[in-house]
Amino acid sequence: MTGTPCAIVGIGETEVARRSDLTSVELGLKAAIAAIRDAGLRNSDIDGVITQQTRANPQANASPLLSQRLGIQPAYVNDISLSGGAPSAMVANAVAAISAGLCSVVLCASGGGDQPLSREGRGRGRLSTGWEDFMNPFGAAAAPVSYALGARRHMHAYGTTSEQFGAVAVACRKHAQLNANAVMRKPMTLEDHQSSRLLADPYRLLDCCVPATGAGAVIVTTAERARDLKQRSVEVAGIGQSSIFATLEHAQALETSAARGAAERAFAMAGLTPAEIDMAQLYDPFTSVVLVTLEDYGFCAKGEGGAFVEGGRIELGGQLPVNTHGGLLSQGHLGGIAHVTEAVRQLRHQADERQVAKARTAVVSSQCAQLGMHVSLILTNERVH
Amino acid sequence: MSDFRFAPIENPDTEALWAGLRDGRLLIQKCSACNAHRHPPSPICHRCNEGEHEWVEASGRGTVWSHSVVHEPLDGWPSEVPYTVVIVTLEEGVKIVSNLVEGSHEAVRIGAPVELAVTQGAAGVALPRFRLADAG
Repeated sequence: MTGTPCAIVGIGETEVARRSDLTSVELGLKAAIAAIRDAGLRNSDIDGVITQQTRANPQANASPLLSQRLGIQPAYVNDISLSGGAPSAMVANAVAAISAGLCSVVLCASGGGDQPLSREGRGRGRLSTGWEDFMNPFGAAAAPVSYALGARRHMHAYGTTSEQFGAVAVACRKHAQLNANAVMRKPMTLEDHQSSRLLADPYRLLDCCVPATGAGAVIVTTAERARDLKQRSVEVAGIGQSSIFATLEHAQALETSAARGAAERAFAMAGLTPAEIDMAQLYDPFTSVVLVTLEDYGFCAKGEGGAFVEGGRIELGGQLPVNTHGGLLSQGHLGGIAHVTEAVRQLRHQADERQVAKARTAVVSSQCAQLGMHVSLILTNERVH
Repeated sequence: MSDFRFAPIENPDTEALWAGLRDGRLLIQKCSACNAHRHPPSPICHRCNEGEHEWVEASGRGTVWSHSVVHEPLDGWPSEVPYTVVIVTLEEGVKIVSNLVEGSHEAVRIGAPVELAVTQGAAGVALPRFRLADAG
């Protein structure tokens, strides 16, 4: 770990549901307070607040607003608007702020999920003059469409099949069945996946994540302070980020992604290799993204992700359990924060029925911009030197 | 494919593109300093950061780089399905997200040659779309 060694000492997660009567503000507050209490801290111990911009209720100055509502006056605040990239980016920014001496105990809060909430519409006004103008008029801006274009490139380059995408969906569903806080818990077979209707080919319905409401939060502080706190400390061993493009027109390739550069940096910082990782919590808006990320992280060779995800290799009990909480695909799309909270829960050995035995290390991925921006975290329950 | 609820906003960075399309021409920016083409429009060149540029008419020929046939209205757009979204690599070397027009959903393949087919729509909005070209 470069800079001040840091750890995640608190996690909070609200109920995850298809619909909620709660606003994104209330959900975010519930998760934040849960994380602070989980750490055994008081609100007044928090001197840094970082928020993830929610799609359901985007607003400026979100971190000062959250601080005000919590009744605290932090020394450091920051709003992160990197959509699915934000959860790991919040942790990265918390570590950076702590390393710079700006603050010492940081609340990273994500609220609202990816579904319009019943008491507030999704903030979809007139189009901006940004990238949407070159996607929306062609019906290409909906995420299943823009990501499908990447999935098609992977199939073309490596012969990857829809059945292999389906193996990712099946693994996530099996894991969600062991998670009481998951939206989709009905058993799913590969046949179910194959017979689900095409939405944007090659994606079928069951290649796509489940929109949901809910929120999550984590508390980051120094590894030194973490050792005196309530929970088993989960240290941040490595952080890596990479931004290689923002819109599809500038993508050189879609069979690979920014995950590659992010993971290289994270593994180098951690001094670890993929072979030393016990589980992966990978941002999974669509099945193919998991497969590309596994390759880019070096868990298998480029082009072999399709074969890698088959045969139960990414399921609990397999070589590399992936998305042990069910992921966006079956727990529900909270914006990706639950990948972080699940990794911490696993590394505390608090994951009950879905616990990865003897887990010591985990990678977490967050990403946005159609594979163009990626943030990797490597977490461990061992001491980082 | 005539639903323009999601019509683009024209601004000084992009109005030449949309105006050209109303005349049936696809204009792309060419950097006056390094000759790199660029799309979508940007005030500066991503390669050399110079702002001076000219708008040149693309040949309209290109190849399919990726494609997806959309079978259901997603995010409320558009009303008519199926429709085909493509990323086309233009002869000039830039990529553009677009649609295939007409009934070519089944025939679309990566590498297939395409040619420009500008769609004139309601409210003065014209869009650069493509049709499959003869392979020869």
